[in-house]
Order: sequence, then C-alpha cells, then structure tokens
Amino acid sequence: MTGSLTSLLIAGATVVLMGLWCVSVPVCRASWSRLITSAFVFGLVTSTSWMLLLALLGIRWSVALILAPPGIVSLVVLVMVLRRGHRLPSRPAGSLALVPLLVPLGLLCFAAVQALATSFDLIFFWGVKGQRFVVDRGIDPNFLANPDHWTMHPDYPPLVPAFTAWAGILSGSFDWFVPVLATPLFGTLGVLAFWAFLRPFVDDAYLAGCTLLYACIFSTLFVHTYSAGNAESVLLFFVTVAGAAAFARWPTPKENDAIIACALAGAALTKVEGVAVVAALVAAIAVGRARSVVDFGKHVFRLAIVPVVLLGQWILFVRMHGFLDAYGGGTYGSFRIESFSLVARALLQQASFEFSYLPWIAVAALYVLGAARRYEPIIVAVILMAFLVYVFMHGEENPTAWIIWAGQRVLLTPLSILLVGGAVAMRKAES
Amino acid sequence: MRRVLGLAILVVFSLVFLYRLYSVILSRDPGGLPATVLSRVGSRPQESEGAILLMRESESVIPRGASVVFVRPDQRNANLDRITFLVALGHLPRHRVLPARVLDEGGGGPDFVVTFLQGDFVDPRFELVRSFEHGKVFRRL
Repeated sequence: MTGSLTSLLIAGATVVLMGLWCVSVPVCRASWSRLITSAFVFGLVTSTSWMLLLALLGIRWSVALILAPPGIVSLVVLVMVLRRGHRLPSRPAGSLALVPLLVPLGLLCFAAVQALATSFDLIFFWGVKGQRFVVDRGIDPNFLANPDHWTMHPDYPPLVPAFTAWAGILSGSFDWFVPVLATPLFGTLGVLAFWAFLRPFVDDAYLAGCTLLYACIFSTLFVHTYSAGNAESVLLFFVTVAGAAAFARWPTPKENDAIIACALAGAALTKVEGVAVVAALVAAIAVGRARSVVDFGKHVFRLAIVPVVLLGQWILFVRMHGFLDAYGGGTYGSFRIESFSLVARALLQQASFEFSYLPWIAVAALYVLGAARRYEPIIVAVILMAFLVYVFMHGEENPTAWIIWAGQRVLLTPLSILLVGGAVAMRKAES
Repeated sequence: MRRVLGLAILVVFSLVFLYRLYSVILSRDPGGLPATVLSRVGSRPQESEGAILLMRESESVIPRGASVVFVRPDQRNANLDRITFLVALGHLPRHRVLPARVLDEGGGGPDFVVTFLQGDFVDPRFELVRSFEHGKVFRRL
C-alpha cells in the first residue's frame, strides 16, 4: 500500500510540474489553493493531450519523453512570470477553517485504502486500459479495436487511464491500488477547488461550512456508489473548478476563461458526459455575457475551442483506427421515446441515493438561505439531467438495470454544479 | 440571525452525511489491509479476491505471449464468461487473453485454460499443469 501511495504522489507531483505553466494566468496564481488545483487541471490536460499526440504519431511513451517537454515548458513559463515581477502567493491563508475537512476526507481515504468503495468498472475497463497503456507504453489501437473488447468501451476518453498509466510508467508497473487511492486525491482536489475559486466572493465562515458540506456529501456518495477507481472523482474535480470559476461572479469575468476552458477540456477528456458539461456551461456563460448573436459566437469560441480541439484529437485517433463507438452512438443503440417514463422513474428513484434525497435537500437549503440566488447553475444542472435521460432512453433493452448500475454515479455531476450554485447564493453583498 | 441559522444548517447536514459515511464504512466490515482492490466489495468478495489472486498466481506459470482463457467451468453463461474475460484481460496483460467461447468453437483451443474455483473442467485437449487455492491451470496437449 505504501508503494501504491508513493506512486500516486509522485505521479501527482509530476502532473503539477507539467501544469505549472498555469502561473501565466493571473487568477490561477491568486492563492496557494488556486495554484495547486489549477496546476492539476493544466497538468492533467497537458499530459493527456501530449501522451495522446505521441500515440497519434506512433511514438512509444517513456518517462523522459512524457515528462521533459511539458515539464521544461512549465518551468520556463514559471521563470518568465517571476522575472516579470509577478509573485507566487506567499503562504496558505485561512487554512484553519479547512481542518474539519480532514474528517470526511480521512474517512474517504480510509474507505479507499480498505477497498470498501472499489468500483467494478475499474476491473472491467478503467484499470484494464491503464494496465495495457503501461505494458504497451502507449495506446495500442489494435487492442482497443478488437471486437471482443467492446464491453471495455474502447472509445471512452483517455484521461483517467493515461494518468494511472503514467503512475505505472514512473514506478515500472501498473498498480491496481493507484486508481483506487486516486479517488480521495481527486476528492480532496475538488474540495480545495470549491474553496479556492469561491473564496473571494463568499463569506469565509459560510464558505467553510459549504466546503465542509461539499466534502461530506461527496465523500459519502463516492463510498456509497462504489466510485473508487473509476472516473467520477476526476470528472467532479474538473466540473467543480469550471463551475466555481464560472458562477462565483456573474456574468463570468473574461479573466476566468482560461481556467474554465482548461477544466472543461479535462471534463471532456475524462468521461463521455463531459461533452454535455462543456455544452451546458459554455452556453450558459455565453448567454450570460452576449449582447448580440456575433458576441455569443465569440464567447462560445473562446470557451469551447480548447475542449473541442483536445477531444477532437482523441476522436481523430479513434476514427483513424476504426473503433468509434460511444461518440458515434454505437454503445447505446437506437433512441426510444417510449422509454421516457421508465427512465424518468428509474432515475428519480436512483436520485434518492437510498438516503431520502438528502443531498438534494441540502442543496435546496443553501438556495433557500442564500440572498444572492442565481438560476444559471440550476439551468446547467437541468440540462445535464436531461442529457442523462436522453442517453438512458437509447437501446432495445429495458434500461432499468443500466440506470441502477450507473444512475447514482452520473447524477453526481449535476449535484456538484448545484452545490456550487448553492454556495454562490451566499455571496458577500459587495461582490 | 439568518447567518447563524445558515451556518447551523450547514453543520447539521454535514454531520448527518458524516454519520451516513461512517455507517456505510462500518457496514462493509473494514479490517486489515486488503489483498486486492476487490477484497471487500460485491456480493461475494471472497470470490472476487480469489479470482484476482488466481490471476497473479497463473501469471507465473503461463509463458508470456501464450493464449489464455479464464473460465468458471461450473457456472458458464454469457454474463459470467464476459466478467472472467475482462478480469483476465486486465490481470494478464502480457498474455493473449481470449473469450471463453473459443473453448466451444472446436479446433485446438487456447494454449492455456485457467479455471476458477474447484468446478470440474473436463476437456480431452488439455492437461492439468498446476492447482492453486482458487483454481487450476491447464495446458493444451
């Protein structure tokens, strides 16, 4: 277990190194918590797209090849930023307010270490891909395109297996506990991002309370839904960064665009529903800002270009090698309008999390208490839920079993957006 | 007043979720460090753990590059065959893992068959190489 933890921490540290070029974006270097979470966002997106580019060019991965180019670029950017007289944040501030977070995050960590929350999807595909990426030192398209391997969802985006493979390449072999332990790591990063990006705008005591609630809800639900080792915690981290940066002030200031675009690219490279997150958030921000149709188009372009190009890079790889599946609608079968009531009922049932709908009730309480309610996060969450209903309405078979398998986990994404919206409702009057 | 009420509600909800988290953890029987990532999840965690341990043991017996099928001979069905296939695919990355149906297709079959648990595997094309606690490894004659 010590070896697994060491591999994960070294992989995390190198990802931060590859993402340090985020210091070129002023909002990312405003505090230590922002710097760490932003470096993770930039680092994960940079390393994944770089590894993917190498795979596209047919170049085998190695430690030096993966780490050196983005690492050197990051360090050069850091030196340039510092030479221009910009300073990094001097010390973590307000960290005492975060001490209670150690309880839920500690319990989540304990559950992961004890293998009490492991996802079977880790064994069925997330881990299989990570393992193969390590052994092949790249992405073997023949392996993914093998028709016998279709249950592995061959064209699911590569960020999570690329990260766990990177940990495996650094340590010499794939370790199945690394993705499991990555769940508390990304859970912690999500909590930190929630705090970091909302802090200037929400009263400290309230925000500490909201952050504690966020940590308690998602630690509980990650364990309850057996999400350790799959992509949920990573997606939630990206969605939290993008959502908090987007909704902390409204209309979203343009200086947040870089971190939002990068976090959205991360979401798109993490799970298929990341595409819906990109579409919903970009549309909401562009509608909030635009004064004309042309203006709307400009804002959409600014925010969506990075996610579209980077996801396009993966889809190009997939198409080149002929294993387009989920993105071509192949996984899901044909759309069936008659499934609507069945899907809506089953999804509603799963939304209770077998806990009397308490996560949603907690979010609703934040909205009721807040004096500065905004409805954009609610609209984004509703769009995401509509997308889920739309996806589950595909296929010839009764979707109930599918919804029981995945419904609670995929509902975590709209829930995280609503929690951000709930915290924002408690904004300081002056902001 | 509103502020105090808000903070109180946040703390109460947080405590409720913490209690839930604590209860869920306790209900899954935590103990010493698990042998595998699946040692404490699913309806039959001992079997899941056994399957992964068997894969680790088989890896040392089966030469790299050999074709392998992993099956549970006493409970063959499409769903279980798919699960054992995916487990082997992830845990024998240096071997050529094939789906269980190749056993039914005639011909020579795979180089090796790993059978899970102690169910009988009778196929004249294969001979027993090694028995482990959680299963057996057979080689093509």
